[in-house]
Amino acid sequence: MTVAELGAALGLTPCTPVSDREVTGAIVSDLLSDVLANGAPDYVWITIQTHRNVAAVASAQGLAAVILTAGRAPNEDLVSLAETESVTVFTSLQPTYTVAGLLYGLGVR
Amino acid sequence: MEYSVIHELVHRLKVSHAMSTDYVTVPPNVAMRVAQQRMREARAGGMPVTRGDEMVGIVTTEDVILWLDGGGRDDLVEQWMTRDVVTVDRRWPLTEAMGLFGKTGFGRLPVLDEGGQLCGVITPESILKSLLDEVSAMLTAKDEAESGRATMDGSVLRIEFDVPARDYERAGMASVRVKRELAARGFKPQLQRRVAIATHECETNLIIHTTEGGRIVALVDDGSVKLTVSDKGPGIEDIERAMVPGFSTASDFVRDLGFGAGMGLPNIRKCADRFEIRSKRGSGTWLHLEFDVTPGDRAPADPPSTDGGGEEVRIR
Ligand SMILES: Nc1ncnc2c1ncn2[C@@H]1O[C@H](COP(=O)(O)OP(=O)(O)OP(=O)(O)O)[C@@H](O)[C@H]1O
Ligand SMILES: [Mg+2]
Repeated sequence: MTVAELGAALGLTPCTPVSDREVTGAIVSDLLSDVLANGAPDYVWITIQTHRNVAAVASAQGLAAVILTAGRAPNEDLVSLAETESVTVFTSLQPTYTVAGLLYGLGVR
Repeated sequence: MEYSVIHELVHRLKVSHAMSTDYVTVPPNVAMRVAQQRMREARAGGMPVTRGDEMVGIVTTEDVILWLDGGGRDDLVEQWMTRDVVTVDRRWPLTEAMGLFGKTGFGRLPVLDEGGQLCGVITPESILKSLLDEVSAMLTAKDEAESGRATMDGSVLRIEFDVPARDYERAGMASVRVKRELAARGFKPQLQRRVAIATHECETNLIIHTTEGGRIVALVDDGSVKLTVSDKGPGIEDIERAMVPGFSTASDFVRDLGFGAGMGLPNIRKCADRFEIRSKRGSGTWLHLEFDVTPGDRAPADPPSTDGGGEEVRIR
């Protein structure tokens, strides 16, 4: 499944250009080092953190997309860094648990 | 750029920053024709009139027009110049000069030094130029602080970052830059990733744990990537304990931002091929990491370009 397909299927709101990168898995965490340790390239990261570090972590880890949950909006500098690093940032009004469940249901395991 | 930045600048910058010292003058006892010619050649709207070192007046386009209106006779400059010159002191802040431009409507003001001697001319254009120069210098400094200084030392790329303490939201600037440089040099994503993760962890440790921030120096060549990270304190009490996954002294505040999982140092060790850490309570922490670059870590070099559109030969 691509980032674009996943965004459409979950009804996510994009904050940056939506890529066609193929998603290989997902990680749920609000701890940056946890994502750096346990994420993998082309993963989707579900989190409630909204500052610029999120984009830096996503870039270092080579993540495909970040989903900010529970109606949280990204900081402006998160969006601009994510854009230059080609990471798609989505927001969702739903809580992390629900977004993760839906993603799992879509076959991202 | 916020209004307050410009505001701060025009208070901080002095007239001497913005004045031009490359200006034309004219003596009082020469013909107006000479003044007219000088102003035209210098594209100046006016000039101080000087006798030796002393300024005795100012002559402007307006005086030239009046003189021409009067028939352009063989009058001397001193017959048409303004004797009562509005001047500014070179030690004044720029705001003062800007206020005077607004009040008088003049296009230039002679600048005097501490001894009352003419030392420059200030115009709205020279003020604008000095502000633009200053803003661009500020932006360059900001860029450097954000994304480091890169220099080539022979074939070794050296990137240096000064990472300030407690600037939590800025973490990641070094890792993003290092990753970019590795990508630009054809290093494969796996290596980029290992180095970027380690750099990010080092960077966040400087930000969240040190008293005055610290420095990251990255050295990149064909065979290796090396990182040296140093700070001046507070140092680590018990390194072995700090290396245990999950151990963290991070405050609740930074934990809320997602730091403090206690996984940074273990992550760094896992990513690097060689890892060395030294620390002394009270004096600081020093880390050295090395990443080996194997032939598989680099994309094959571009084939040499052929001249004149000849057939390209690729050897695989
Ligand atoms: N440069 C440093 N100066 C002083 N103490 C440090 C430094 N780096 C690490 N430490 C100490 O070592 C502990 C462990 O560091 P580590 O990077 O593993 O975890 P953390 O920074 O607390 O959390 P995380 O990296 O997961 O966000 C820190 O909590 C801190 O007490
Ligand atoms: Mg850390």
